[in-house]
Amino acid sequence: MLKTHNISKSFGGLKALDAVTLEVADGEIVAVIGPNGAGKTTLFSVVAGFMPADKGTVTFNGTDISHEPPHRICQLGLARTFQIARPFAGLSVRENIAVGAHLHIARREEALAKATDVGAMLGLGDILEQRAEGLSVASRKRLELARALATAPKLLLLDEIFAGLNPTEVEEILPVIREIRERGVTIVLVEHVMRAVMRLSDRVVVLNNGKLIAAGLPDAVVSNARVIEAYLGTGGTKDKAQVAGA
Amino acid sequence: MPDLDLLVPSAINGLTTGAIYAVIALGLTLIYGVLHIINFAHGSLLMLAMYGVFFLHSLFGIDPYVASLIMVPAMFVLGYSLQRGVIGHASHGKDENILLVTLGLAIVIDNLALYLWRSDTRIIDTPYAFATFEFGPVLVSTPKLIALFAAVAIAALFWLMMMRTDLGKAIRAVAKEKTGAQLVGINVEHVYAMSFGLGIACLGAAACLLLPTFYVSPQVGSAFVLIAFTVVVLGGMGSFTGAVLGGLIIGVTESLGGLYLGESLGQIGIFVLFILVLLFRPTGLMGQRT
Amino acid sequence: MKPVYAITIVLILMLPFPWLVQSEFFLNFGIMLLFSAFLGQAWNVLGGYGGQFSFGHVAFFGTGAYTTAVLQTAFGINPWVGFVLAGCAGGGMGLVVGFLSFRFGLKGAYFALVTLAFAEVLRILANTADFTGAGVGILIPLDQGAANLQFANKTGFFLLALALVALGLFITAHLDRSRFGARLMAVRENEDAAMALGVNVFAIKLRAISLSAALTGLAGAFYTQFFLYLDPTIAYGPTVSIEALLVPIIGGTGTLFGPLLGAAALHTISEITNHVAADAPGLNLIVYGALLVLMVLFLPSGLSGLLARLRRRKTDLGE
Repeated sequence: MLKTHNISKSFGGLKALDAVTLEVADGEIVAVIGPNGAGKTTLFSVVAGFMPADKGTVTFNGTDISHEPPHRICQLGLARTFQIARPFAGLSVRENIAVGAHLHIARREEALAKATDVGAMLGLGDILEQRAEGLSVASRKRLELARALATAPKLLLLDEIFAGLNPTEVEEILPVIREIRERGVTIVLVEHVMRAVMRLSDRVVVLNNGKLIAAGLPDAVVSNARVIEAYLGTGGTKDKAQVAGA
Repeated sequence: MPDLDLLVPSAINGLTTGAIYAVIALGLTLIYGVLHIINFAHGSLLMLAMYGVFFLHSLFGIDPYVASLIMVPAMFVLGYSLQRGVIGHASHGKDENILLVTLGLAIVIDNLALYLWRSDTRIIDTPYAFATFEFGPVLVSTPKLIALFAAVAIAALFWLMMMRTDLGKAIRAVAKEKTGAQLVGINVEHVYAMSFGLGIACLGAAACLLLPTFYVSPQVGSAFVLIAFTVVVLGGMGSFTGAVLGGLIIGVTESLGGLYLGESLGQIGIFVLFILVLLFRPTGLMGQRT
Repeated sequence: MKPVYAITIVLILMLPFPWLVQSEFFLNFGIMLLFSAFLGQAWNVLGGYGGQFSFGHVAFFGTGAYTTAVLQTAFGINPWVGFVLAGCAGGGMGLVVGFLSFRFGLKGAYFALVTLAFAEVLRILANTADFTGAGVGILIPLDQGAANLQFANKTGFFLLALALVALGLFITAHLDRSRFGARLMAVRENEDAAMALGVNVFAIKLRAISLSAALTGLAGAFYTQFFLYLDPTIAYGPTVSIEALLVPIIGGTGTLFGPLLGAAALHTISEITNHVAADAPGLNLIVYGALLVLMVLFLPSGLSGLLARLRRRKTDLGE
């Protein structure tokens, strides 16, 4: 469904992405992990059209989206959330989600109805009328998710959706994401919260210093020496258990 | 097509006018560089300063250059108070509010001047107003030459202040990283107000340099504000070198524009340049590309 | 209450005004109030709903005003036709300014500045060009009659102004309940997030500025017909830009009745000031500027915000 081929991106002298090639199949949940600064969010920005790659291509369902603007990419069915949530502060939760719904729905009442449904599905049913400004971190994350979901995407890019949530909140969102996949949406997540990565993903992909250093089943990747080294530096094999059990 | 005989004096004349623009722009760019606000009231405050110089001369016979000893501190105090008392409270978290509050101040000041002093233009008479200095084949107006040197001196003073004094260090710290500056104990409110005050103090100096050869009326504020913005945007927001360079370039552009297109149409050159810079290179000549 | 009902009620309440007031003075007051409200409604589309603050809206006003003035005096075109064409011309100028500004990503203060610059350029051009009468301006010959959009009885102008305000209200209500409006407000709140949700930010902004500018152009045409005289300072000077933004800011940006409230407040204060200080030059604008400063400092969400807060307090107390 989603293919990146040799994506490279530099900022001045810093190579943020170095010939990253990966593939995501229909219906998968793929996690992209790696230490801070590995290039994960840059990858998302390039894929979602917010930044052009210096080299390489991105293909989505057969269409080359390497040079498409973000709104076009969303129209094609690829939606993303932001690492730091960007709610439409002055609008209510429902109105926020409705903006996403309007991608495919022209009539206001219909879009608002869909927004109500999506909001309820994501546990925002009680606060639909509240202004998006004063929401808690967990609610803001759910709102990010709801908005993106309302665009009826085929593929969802979730940028650190679990960041800032306490363990209970993480537990509460896990089934929601599984439910989204059950409904036929492919999911790619950038994550640091290993518990979520291990519980959700079908496959894991590891970036370090812009390069793709490992890919495969979660258990295999997590015990991969190169991966452990990337996170902990050399001589970190004894902490392997920590990484695997997180 | 005007020949070289007119071109060179026009260009030199433009340089001297541009020097004054530079002084005005220095203040504006300092305010933007530190507070990140666009001071729409800059032209109006300049106009106020010019009236100050005018009245010091007409009521007390004080020479405009001497008046700078009074005007510069006075304008500094005014600027400090405005920032501390009004502008600093306006933000409420949205940038547009600062925009609007400085616009509001500009409107109040412009029309207060109109109400108090009517529309008439006023000029002052000084013995050296028409003195000239010979530069080889070219005659340059002495007051304007003084302005040129003063502008360079002021820019140098600014640079020294920013680089060598504690205040300068504090200002640079706040401009770069406000929270960090707070964490090391810098009183950000005070630094903001000091910066704004310094920016407005420049207008006191500029007014003293302008009055010998220029008139004052309530409308000069709006005439100067767009030019000041053009200079700052051209030179790069927050850059002193840019303000000086930009001022000189705009001064020459205006002068040559007036030469080729006539007085009224010549002004268009500035605004067209402004629009072009905003569209194609909003960071200006010296600004950092974000 | 559904907005359509609220609008209809407000319009019906305002309709009998010309027949209720006896003096020309009050009729004029009403007309200028509605004119201001319409100007504010136009600005509100781009500024309040779109979040793009233009400080040079007079550029569209003057374009509309001159279009109908020139078409009438130089080509003998009927003023009603000229009226519509003024709206188109305003909209066209909006497209130009918008295309250039938004294509190059100008936002916030930079956008405000560039609109100022465009207005100034137009003022200088109007001051120099022959067909606009240069500095002397254009005088529309007196030829009263409804067919000529010069109503002998000012009531005609009141009704026209009311019709324009009605147009403004319905357009604003449409923004509140349409996809375009929802997207426009999303762009106002956060452009990146809007883009990520499939909103073509550039196209939306362009539509908003064209609509806003077209309405402002109509306001310009109204001015031309009411005062029958135009010069570069009136057409492209800063006064109209200030009024256009002040009205919605006082009343409450991004709200349906904000501009109407703002215009009422502004003109009432203005008349009182004039009465007290006997038409001193500049006094009006001093008050406007002071109001702007005070509003930003103490009442940033305008009168509408104040009313909403009072209503909320009443319902809180009622519990």
